[in-house]
Amino acid sequence: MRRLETHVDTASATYRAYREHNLALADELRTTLHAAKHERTQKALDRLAEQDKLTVRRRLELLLDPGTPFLEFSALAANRHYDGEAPQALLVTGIGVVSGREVVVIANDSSLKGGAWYPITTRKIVRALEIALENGLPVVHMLDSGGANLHLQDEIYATAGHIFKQQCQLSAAGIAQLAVVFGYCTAGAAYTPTLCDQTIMVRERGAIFLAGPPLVKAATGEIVSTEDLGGADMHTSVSGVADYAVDSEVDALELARDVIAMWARRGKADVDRRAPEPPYHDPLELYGIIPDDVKKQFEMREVIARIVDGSLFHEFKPDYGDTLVTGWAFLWGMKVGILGNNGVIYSEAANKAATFMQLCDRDGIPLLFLHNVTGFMVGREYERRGITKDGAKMLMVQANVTVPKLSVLCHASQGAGNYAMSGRTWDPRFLYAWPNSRSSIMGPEVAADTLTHVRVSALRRQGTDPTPEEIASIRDDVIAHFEETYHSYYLTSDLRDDGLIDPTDTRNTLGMSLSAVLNTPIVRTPGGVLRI
Amino acid sequence: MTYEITLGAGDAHAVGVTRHGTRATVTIDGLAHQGSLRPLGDAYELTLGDRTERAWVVVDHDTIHVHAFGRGWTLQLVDPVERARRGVDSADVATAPMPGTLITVCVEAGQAVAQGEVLVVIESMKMQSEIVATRDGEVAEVHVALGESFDRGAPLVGLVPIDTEDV
Repeated sequence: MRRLETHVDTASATYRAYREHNLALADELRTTLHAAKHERTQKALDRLAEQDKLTVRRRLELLLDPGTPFLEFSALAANRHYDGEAPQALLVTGIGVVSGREVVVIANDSSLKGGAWYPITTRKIVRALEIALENGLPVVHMLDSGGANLHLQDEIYATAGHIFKQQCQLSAAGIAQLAVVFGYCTAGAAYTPTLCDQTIMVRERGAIFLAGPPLVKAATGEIVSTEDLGGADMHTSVSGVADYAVDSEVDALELARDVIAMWARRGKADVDRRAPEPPYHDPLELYGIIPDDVKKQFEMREVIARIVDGSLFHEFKPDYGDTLVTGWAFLWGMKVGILGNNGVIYSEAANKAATFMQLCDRDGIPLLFLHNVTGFMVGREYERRGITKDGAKMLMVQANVTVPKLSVLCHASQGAGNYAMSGRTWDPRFLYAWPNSRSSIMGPEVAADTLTHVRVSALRRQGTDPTPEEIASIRDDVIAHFEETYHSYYLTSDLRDDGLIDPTDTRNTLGMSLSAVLNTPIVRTPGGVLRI
Repeated sequence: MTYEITLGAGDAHAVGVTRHGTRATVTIDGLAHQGSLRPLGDAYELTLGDRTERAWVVVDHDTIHVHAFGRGWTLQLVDPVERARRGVDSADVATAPMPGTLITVCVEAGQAVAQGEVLVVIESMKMQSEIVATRDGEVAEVHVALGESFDRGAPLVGLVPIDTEDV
């Protein structure tokens, strides 16, 4: 490895302009995150206090080991959906440290809409359980939800069943689960605490039943109180559905820490390690490196130099297929194989990437993909040289490697380039996006040209000749659609990533993610490495 | 392997080391020297020719701090891979790295430019790339007109050395 040299001129006008642009984006991200996590109306907070309930953030504070980081997922889920009435999809998920163990936490936020499930809430739970399953992490369910938002039941019901199935799979995989019941778990939701290994219930607040008192009365005429039907004392002393009854939320969380402290500790996977050291080049300079327009290019080596230990990098095939940088580095002391784009992928770059991934897979080295890709090169010359064939090799190898993959959308991530770089649908263990990033099936301008051409042709066939204003309006509509849907805030709202992160947080986010990944053994794929 | 090492703010030297058992031949700018370096407590015993001195060495990545011969020295090591990369592309003509369209022209014929200065901006595959001067020079000609398309390898901007007599 050698230290990456920087060619960034921090005194240049470009650097200053980019820096100003990206600092504004970072500021917007901070403000938006704060609003989603913490800003609630006084009425909502009063309502919680009336019920003698803590906010979800306070519950987390009481659960997690003091002074430890919490890797939160998709805090901006649903920020562009449901008219913004379900910030963070009314659910907090993340990896935190409890009694010295890394655990996945899934916690309802009942400050709004009674913590109801929206379709994105359901998908966010499924994703958190998927993270637990893939990475062998125990789960703490902090339950306080009014149940499914019945106006949206169709979409919720389409995915909710996965949650309970995943809970069963976690158990079979030897992964512990604890439920803390702060509110009602009615109907289907009753199965979440019941499928856990251990369950704590808060008296007078928590309840588990297939149907609550009003429904029981309607169905059979029986009149019964909530506590008698499914309260903490009944379930812990009569039915055996739950295990511990406590008097307050604070007691529940203290007991939860105690329960988790009894769980078996698992060792970490064996990867090459060395003593961690901070990057030699200042990560804050990332603000001045990332351009102010998704179409403008930058050097991905400058980003690598601000993420990895000591800015030290051993580049593989440095002079071949130079629009894709490949090489090894250490991140928080753990070895990773990095693939970073410098724009469009050519045949040489695709082939280099395929070989590099095979090398890392054989040697058990996790892969990190840094996206700035607009796709594979098009045109007669490239088709004749079989660009699709080379792209297919990259996809084939990437899909089938067994080492963990991590992805970061640093700038553009478009078309099949996103697939080749292990975009969301290719199931990297974790995927994060920078606020400046954009991702879509193609660029907005190309899409606008294509669709405008199609619609204008159709109109002409019908005998109407659109005016230039009409043509411009068709074009503007397409551009507007793309501007909305390829935006990082829209994509994170729909859970196309595990969260938007400030570029300068990338190193720490990846460090925690790598640490999480190492809770499962790294499987080495046997077989030869092809020099393709 | 031959390394490029700069001593303080001085010139770069080409340094090669070949080991023979405990001794080594150090070639500096083509001149061979015999010597050895042995660990001695927290320092080293450095022998060069018939002279032996104690030396303290601290390596900080590519920077090497040496205390020997009664004073401190700072050596900067330039890795051969990096050196090779720096050497390329200092051509007279900036060519197109990929097919595309010229969207911005930043220079005109006769203009003096410094290494790293943006000459033109091209757009290709939804990306805008800056084409920069690989060395100091004077713009001889911008070969492509604004908005015009070109193939990969097409000449974009020609440079000639600055005519020092005119300056």
